[in-house]
Amino acid sequence: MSESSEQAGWEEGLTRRDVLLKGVAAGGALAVGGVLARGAYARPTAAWIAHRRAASATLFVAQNGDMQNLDPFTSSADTVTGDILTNLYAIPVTFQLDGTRNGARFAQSTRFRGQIASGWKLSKNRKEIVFAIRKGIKFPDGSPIDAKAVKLSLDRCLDVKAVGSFLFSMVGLTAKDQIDVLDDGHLRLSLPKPTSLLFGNMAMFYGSAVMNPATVKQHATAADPTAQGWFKTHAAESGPYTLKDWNVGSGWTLEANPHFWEPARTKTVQFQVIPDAQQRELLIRSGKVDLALGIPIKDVPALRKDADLNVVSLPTRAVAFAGFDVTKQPFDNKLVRQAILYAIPYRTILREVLHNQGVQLKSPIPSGTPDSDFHFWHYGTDYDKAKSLLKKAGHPRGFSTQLDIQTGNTIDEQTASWIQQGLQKAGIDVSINKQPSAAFTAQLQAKKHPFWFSSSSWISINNDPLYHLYWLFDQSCCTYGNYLNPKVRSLIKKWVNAPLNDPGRIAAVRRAQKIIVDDAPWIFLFQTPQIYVTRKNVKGLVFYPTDLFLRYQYFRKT
Amino acid sequence: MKLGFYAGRRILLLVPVLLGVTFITFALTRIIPGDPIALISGPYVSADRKAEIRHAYHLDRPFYVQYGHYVDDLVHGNLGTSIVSGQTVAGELSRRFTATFELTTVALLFSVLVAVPLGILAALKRNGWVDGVSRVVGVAGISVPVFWSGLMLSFLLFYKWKVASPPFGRIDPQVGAPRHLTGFYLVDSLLTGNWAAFRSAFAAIWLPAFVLGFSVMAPIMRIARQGMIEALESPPTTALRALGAKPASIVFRHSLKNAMLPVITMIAIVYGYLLGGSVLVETIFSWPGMGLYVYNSIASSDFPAVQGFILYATTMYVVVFLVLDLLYLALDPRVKY
Repeated sequence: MSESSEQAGWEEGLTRRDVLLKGVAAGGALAVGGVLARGAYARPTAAWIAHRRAASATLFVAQNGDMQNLDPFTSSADTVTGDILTNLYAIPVTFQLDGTRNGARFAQSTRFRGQIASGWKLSKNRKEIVFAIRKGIKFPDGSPIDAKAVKLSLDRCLDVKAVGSFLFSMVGLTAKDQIDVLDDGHLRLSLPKPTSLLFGNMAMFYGSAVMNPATVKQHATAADPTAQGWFKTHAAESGPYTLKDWNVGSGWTLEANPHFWEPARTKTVQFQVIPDAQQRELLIRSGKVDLALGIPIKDVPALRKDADLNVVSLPTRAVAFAGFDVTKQPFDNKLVRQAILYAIPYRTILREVLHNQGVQLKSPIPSGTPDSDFHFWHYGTDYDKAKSLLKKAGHPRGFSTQLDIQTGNTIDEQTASWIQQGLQKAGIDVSINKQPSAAFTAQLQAKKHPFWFSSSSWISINNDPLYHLYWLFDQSCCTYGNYLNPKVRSLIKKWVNAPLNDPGRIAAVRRAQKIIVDDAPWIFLFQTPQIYVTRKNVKGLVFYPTDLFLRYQYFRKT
Repeated sequence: MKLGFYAGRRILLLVPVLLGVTFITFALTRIIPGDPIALISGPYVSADRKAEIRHAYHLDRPFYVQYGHYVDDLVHGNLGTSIVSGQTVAGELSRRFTATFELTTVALLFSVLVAVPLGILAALKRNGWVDGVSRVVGVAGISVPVFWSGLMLSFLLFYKWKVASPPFGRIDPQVGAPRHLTGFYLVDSLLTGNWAAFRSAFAAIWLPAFVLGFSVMAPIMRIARQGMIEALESPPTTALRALGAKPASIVFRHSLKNAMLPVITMIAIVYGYLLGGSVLVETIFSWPGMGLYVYNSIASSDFPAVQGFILYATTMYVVVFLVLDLLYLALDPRVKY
């Protein structure tokens, strides 16, 4: 696999399995490819210069909120900030690009290509991986991005002990001495056991953003050796864009990084914070902005009628489910949970809440993730069956309960109301309890909601079925409903690091889904769509199904 | 000199008031359920690490220790750092205060310029057509919700007829903010002679100011009308009439001053209320002011931000009412300090 086609070449690449199996063989080829690539970039080609000239236009974006904490390693995972961090920081490996579907180009979610790395080589025992760092690449200030800079960034990630370091600990990367600089151009990671999760866990800024070590050093203090305070509002970029200015509360501007090695087709991206969705729609319809984010699903049909707009609504792997605390009455009774699953108007919710844009979720593993299987689903809207199950469970007259949701989210409020109406028909009286986000989240993480719903509860950033099940049904952090099935957990534990195509692993994933669907720890509801609205003359939208963030370098205006 | 002494004493009295307010706010933000650390750290972060972060913000200490830290910081002029955004609260407040202050002032100016003359005219020609119109305007202002009028006017004036500028907030981002002197874009652009910025800032402010001003017009108008009626029916006015004073002189020289006293009180109340920021108008017009900031801070339990805001709002109220009392001194000879 040569990395010589730098810009958005829609190359077909290797799967993770291929990487693992053929890694050794590919190593040599990569070294050659790296040399070729370096040659190409030391002398800019005519095409590259033309790209540069074309990249003069400014892309105007209406965003729904302001950025928050800008430190890539401690970022709170809000979508506005994540979108920008993705464009400010380069990472060792990123996703390969795929074909075009539903009006958008797609990126892969399980196949990788180098970004800062020009290639990689896996040892025979598959426990050591050596990354070759792309030769001659630089930070915006002109200092080199070498193996040492990458190590310092990974070290910092381990130091701040936030999201990234937990993703690393999952693959066994927990100590700085597991990260070795072999020379300026090579970095080695030593892992305690082979794992298929490494690249998926690395392919986001959370742990892998490469930060300019000079900037980190300059702003580190004795009390704050990793300069977390400074990086909340500043960046040390390495990616396609730099943060040119930030007018807090109003907007910010990204400027193409002159030293980034893949040409950006849009030189400047200007973001305006437009909190009101109706106004974002007026702005895009009037042509005052080129791209509008955070457009409500309900407005998609009307916007589609506007000939000047390109409305892209794409299925995501975000799982929307209502959870039960399976240790609390009456939800500790499997029959009660199953009865509830028979009392949900699934089709109505898809039609009325998602305006037929979403996918009904019929397994804990969403469609779009390898080995997701909806065949174990045996529920449906059947109020009589719900009633008979309730009777069998010892609740012939139903019961009363409370559904916790967050305030301010229309989809959540509407879905909760349909759940309420459905359960009413089965004799269960539901009151809806709206909470501010901080209160809702605190209670969620403390696993204290007896019955809750949030449409934005989960998307797995590594598109691996067992990674997904690990966080939601095994790991202590996110088993919000205290559903810990020993059989499921042993399957996850046994197979989580095995290659994706291992038949034993595939069987284990299917088995786990069958058990979970039958146990009904959730009301499986839907997979929310992601919506982008652009003007017709804006090309180059690339959809990254893993993180849903945009890569502005591909956009261009015609 | 006496006036200076009076004002000084009022400002000193501010200290215990604010201390009381900080205590109540502090207690309330801690009682309301919600954990900002859970929100900012996200699900992946371990409980141990969350405890460390909580410790860094002193959130694991007893209530009185936390309060002690807070007051100590306050005395040193430090309002703290927002847990969610990482921006200093003082910086955010000053930035957003100027935005809200500018919008509110223009809105109120418009409101007063329309409401007071309308109120007086209505009082003079009671139950005439002016009275009828003012009543309709008043009822409309109070009963039409601003999220509706704001969106409708934006749709018609910006999108359909293209006479209003796009809802980009305080200024067209292409023009850019004028050089920072006071933080008020209209003032700064005038002072620096930056006409492009002035035009853009004015084009951005008039519609939100109109929507906001319209919504608070009714109480000012009603009070002006009521005050004028009372002044016109008062015994001194009857005496003036009997003495043969000209109607214009009765209205402008004698009654207006009396009628204005309650109006000024009402203006101060409305002003104090608006300075807290109008969440709806600011949201609709992307105005980077106080309202939306506070709303988001409360939802995310961002303690330092909420505390800073309430401290600020209290100070504003007290200052506005101090100015009001001083105005009374000038207008009402009965009032002496």
